[in-house]
Amino acid sequence: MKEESNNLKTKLRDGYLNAMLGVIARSLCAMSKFDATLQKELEGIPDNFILQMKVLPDVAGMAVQKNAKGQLDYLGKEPNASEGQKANVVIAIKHPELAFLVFSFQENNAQAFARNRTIIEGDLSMAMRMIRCISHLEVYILPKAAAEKALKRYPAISLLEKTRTAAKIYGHLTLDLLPGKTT
Amino acid sequence: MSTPCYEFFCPVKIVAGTRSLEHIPHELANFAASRPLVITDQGVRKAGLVKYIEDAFNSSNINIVDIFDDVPPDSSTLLVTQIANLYRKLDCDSIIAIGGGSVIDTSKGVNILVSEGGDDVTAYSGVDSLKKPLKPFFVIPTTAGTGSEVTSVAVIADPIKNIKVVFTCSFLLPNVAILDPRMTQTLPPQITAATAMDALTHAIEAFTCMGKNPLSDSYATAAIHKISQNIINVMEKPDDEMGRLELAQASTMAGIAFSNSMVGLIHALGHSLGATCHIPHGICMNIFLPHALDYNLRHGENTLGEVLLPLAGAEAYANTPANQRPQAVIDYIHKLRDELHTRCQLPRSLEETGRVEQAQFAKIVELTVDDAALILNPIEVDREDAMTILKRAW
Ligand SMILES: [Fe+2]
Repeated sequence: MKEESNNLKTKLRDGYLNAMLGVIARSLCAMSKFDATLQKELEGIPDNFILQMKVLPDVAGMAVQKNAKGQLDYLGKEPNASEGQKANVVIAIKHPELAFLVFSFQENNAQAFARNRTIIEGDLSMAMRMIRCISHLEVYILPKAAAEKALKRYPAISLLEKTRTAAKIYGHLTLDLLPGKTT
Repeated sequence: MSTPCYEFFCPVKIVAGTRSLEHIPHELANFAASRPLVITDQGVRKAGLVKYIEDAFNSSNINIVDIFDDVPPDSSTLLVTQIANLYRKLDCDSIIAIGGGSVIDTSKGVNILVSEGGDDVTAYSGVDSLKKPLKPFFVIPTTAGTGSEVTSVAVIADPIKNIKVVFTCSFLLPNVAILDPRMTQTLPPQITAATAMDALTHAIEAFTCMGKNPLSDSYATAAIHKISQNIINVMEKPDDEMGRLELAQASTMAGIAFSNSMVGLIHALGHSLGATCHIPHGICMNIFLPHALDYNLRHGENTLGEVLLPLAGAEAYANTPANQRPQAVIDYIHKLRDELHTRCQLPRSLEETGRVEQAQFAKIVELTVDDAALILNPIEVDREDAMTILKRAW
């Protein structure tokens, strides 16, 4: 009998992972609407391309899709198979405890991959683009101390630039979350 | 620092040394196999290497069922289907691949089809798509560089969709790799040098990139030592059997190292240059090796200094203060490249290849930042960084 599954700590952890992945996915979509760097990366990605990230075994996840406008749409926890959606790139972390190491910034993405905790499937060059997009996002939405741990190199940006961009992301996020608006 | 958590896997039986080919019939019998199909290419055939294997089977109770000797340098999924059909028609029960990267990858694809069934190998692409062991698969490398005999990856072109299909699964690993010095003895000097530099790059990237671990480190350092000890000797005396064997073993050891720790920036640049300008992989490695190491070093990479011990030997290591060792490694590599250039005109720069134009840099940069090998490079590399390295390598 798996005692762990009823454990409050486990539930909190899994809730946190879902929340983090949701925030990353929605922020990425919000940022794709105005950020030139992100838009340039997305130019090289085919329309309708779907990125899925998940924590095995089906603990948490997110999926985003590139639309014809060159921006990203949030699809939810996973692509909707009944609507024919299928991920072109899947980034999976093997266990929720391992995912927690990443999303609590104890291990960065590259370290998790080096330690064989992450599996990347699909078109690897597209995966590299999406990883760059996520790194770029993290610079702005994470506190500097966390971003420095999450990334191999923290770029030289001013606090003002960081704050301004973060405010824009949150602004778009709030708009996206308004009831009745479908994205 | 080595990664404190790692996986290490290499279930390939290595049969190495003089007259290793003569072990093959017995090894096949160990797998209850008796009807091998040999897959190779015209180069191997013309160099007379197939004859050695045929001779090895002469005094055994196993016969080679057929020899397919027409794998081109840029193989395809269609050829995989064709060879798989031949295997089925002749009722073979095992595969012996003799050659370099293209032959070995094609054979891995054939093994998927003949074991799993079907006509379309791309159905098994991606990560870990195979769920059970395949047919007995032996590999005899004829170059000392790629390390494909100990890697679980195959890359095969799909001419219909015009893409390169990647297969990654531990079941693709050969059961037995045979390193017989006769198989690399007739390699021309420039290919010997280029493939040795590829192996050296595998070992150095395995040792300095983020996936390094105690086991891959030990294979990597041993490979570096063997290459630096033997490369010039073999250039001097191409039929030095022991020297050839040392390089072949080093290549396999470097292959074991990098397949368990992955490669980095040098390979990202090399893949991109190779794809854009059609320059052989080993030459790409030779061109970028010192420049990419220099880039990583100047941005904080901190394990390169330890490469000096296997590369230059104990005396040089002891006589070099610790803080000067990383630079000494790079200087040593520059000298080695100059020596190889003198002996066989192995290009050291993009310009020396005569096949690169600076107008192509933008495309190479774009491919480099999209190359998955960058994930485990210890230092971040953006477009501007990649461009700077290309200019330095000009
Ligand atoms: Fe290589």
